[in-house]
Amino acid sequence: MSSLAGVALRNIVRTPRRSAIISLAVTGGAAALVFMMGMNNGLAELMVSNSVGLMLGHVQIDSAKGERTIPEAPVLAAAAALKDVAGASGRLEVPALAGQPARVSGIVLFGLDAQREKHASSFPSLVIEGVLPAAGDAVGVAIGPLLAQRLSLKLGDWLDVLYTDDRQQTVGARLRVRGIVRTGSEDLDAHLAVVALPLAQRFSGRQGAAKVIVKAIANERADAVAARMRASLDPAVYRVRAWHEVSPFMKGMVSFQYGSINVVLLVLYVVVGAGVAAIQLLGLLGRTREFGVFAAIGFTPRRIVALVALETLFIGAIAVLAGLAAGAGAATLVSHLGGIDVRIVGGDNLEALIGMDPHLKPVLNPRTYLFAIGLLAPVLVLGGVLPALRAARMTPMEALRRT
Amino acid sequence: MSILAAQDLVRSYERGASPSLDRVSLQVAAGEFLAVAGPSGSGKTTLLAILGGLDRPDSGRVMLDGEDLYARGADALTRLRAAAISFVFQSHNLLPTLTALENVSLAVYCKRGAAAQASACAKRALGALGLGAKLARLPGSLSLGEQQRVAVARAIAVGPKVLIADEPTASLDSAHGEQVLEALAVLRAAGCAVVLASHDERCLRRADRVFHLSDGRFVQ
Repeated sequence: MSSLAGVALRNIVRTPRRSAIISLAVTGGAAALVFMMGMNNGLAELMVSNSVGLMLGHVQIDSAKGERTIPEAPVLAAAAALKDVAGASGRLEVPALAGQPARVSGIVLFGLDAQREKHASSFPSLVIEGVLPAAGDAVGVAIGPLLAQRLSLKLGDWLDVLYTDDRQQTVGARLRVRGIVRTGSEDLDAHLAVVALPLAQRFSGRQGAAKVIVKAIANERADAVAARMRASLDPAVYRVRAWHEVSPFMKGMVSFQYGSINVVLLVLYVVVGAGVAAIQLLGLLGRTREFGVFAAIGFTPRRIVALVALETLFIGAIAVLAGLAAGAGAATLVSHLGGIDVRIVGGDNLEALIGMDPHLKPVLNPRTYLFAIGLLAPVLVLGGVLPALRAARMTPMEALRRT
Repeated sequence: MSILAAQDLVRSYERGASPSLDRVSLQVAAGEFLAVAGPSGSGKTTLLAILGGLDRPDSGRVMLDGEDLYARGADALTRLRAAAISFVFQSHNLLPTLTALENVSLAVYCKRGAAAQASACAKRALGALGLGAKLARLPGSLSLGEQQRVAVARAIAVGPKVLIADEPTASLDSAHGEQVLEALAVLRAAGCAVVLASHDERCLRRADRVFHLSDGRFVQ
């Protein structure tokens, strides 16, 4: 019994209400921290996913020499060999004019492989009517809703286009509207016309694709996939870039938003930490007299501080572990239920999120737990040991006079 | 040869107010029983706390076995107090989360460091004060008189050179009061000096010398 640990354990067990209150505060704090950090991680993931999901891809491969197209088969084969890759798809853009003489619109014929896009981008989920043209479809097109509106087109109608072939000849063609694709971007919705990749190749007179986009199985794998693709492709022919290299602006936007939210969360972290420390302080300040008794019977100031540190360690370790488990449980439950739909708490104009995932899901990783522990540990030390230090600095009689 | 000597002790709690102790001096020899009497607020508890190393005087010295108590740092003073001085508080001051046996044995452990020996000493002291059947009871489940006897047992179990007691029989009936006084007599016989503040005539009668304290000063 006489060991410090024995006394500390008795103090914890024989004051169940005090121990329970402090434990609950620490558990709640740890759970809140884990859940909030998980949500912030999830938000960062969502921002990246939504940024790269449509046009950018996690990794983009184009010509190292500035050629207009690259052979796509080696790229697709290299991507298929990597287990971190969810899908890859070649794309080829052909500028064109569309419509009747009275109402001509500049458009981009966007050649892609509808089957491959299912695993490589969010394009297939943008189709609000009909379908994307299949690979063998020699006349099909899916257009944006603003283009359809401007040209008064609906599914099954014909779209007349004019494009310039590889001999610089202006050529006309008739395409049948197979689908309506809504991206949420006014520019794309007014000028995009998706066709099968072979059709875009035929119109442009070029083989291959202007670029291949690769989707990694997770955002954090983007750089690793880029590195492996770089290693397996001829650098003289192919330029391989991760999404943030293709679009530093997008990377900057994501970082800016992540940082901005972290500033807000920092305030919450301080509030949580202060709450935990305050409850601990209340519990310990009421024990000043008890510390005076310890001092009177022969506990040195250092030993009193060690006693409280042990109590804090015992309660803190169990409560923090419980809190981490509770936070992880809550995060897992929210993820399992499909996440939080930000449109519920968002504002106007959320239709712009079409094609993007609006469900915010917490994402936990070892850093989340370490950060929560790292944040709570000094709070526990401050809230637990400082009052003991204060009491230990008093003479026993001063401490005994406190109520 | 005195084992405990106080010289010109002064202690004030508020600036400008009359001191609680005003140039008080005394000497206590080993095995001597010295009683301090006086009305409430006369400075008895303050004197005992300073003699026991629990509170620092504003000026003056307390010598224990020729060594100035308050010339030591906090840790060294605590160690010396644990080794040589025991204190019985008027308000018991037992640790509420420890049983009677644990309260006593923890104090012995602080002096001697051996857990098994501490437990045996504690059981003997508690048994001598009629608490052998209540070793496992927490202070909250003991009567005030029982708590006081546990506090006395804690003080005598360590085998101190000096025992300082503030109204040790105040909450005891006459039978248990006698028990406590007998235990103190056994300590005295072993060479322990006892300094005691009390209004209890039984205590004062047993004292070798009685000092009367009034307004922080000894009076005739």
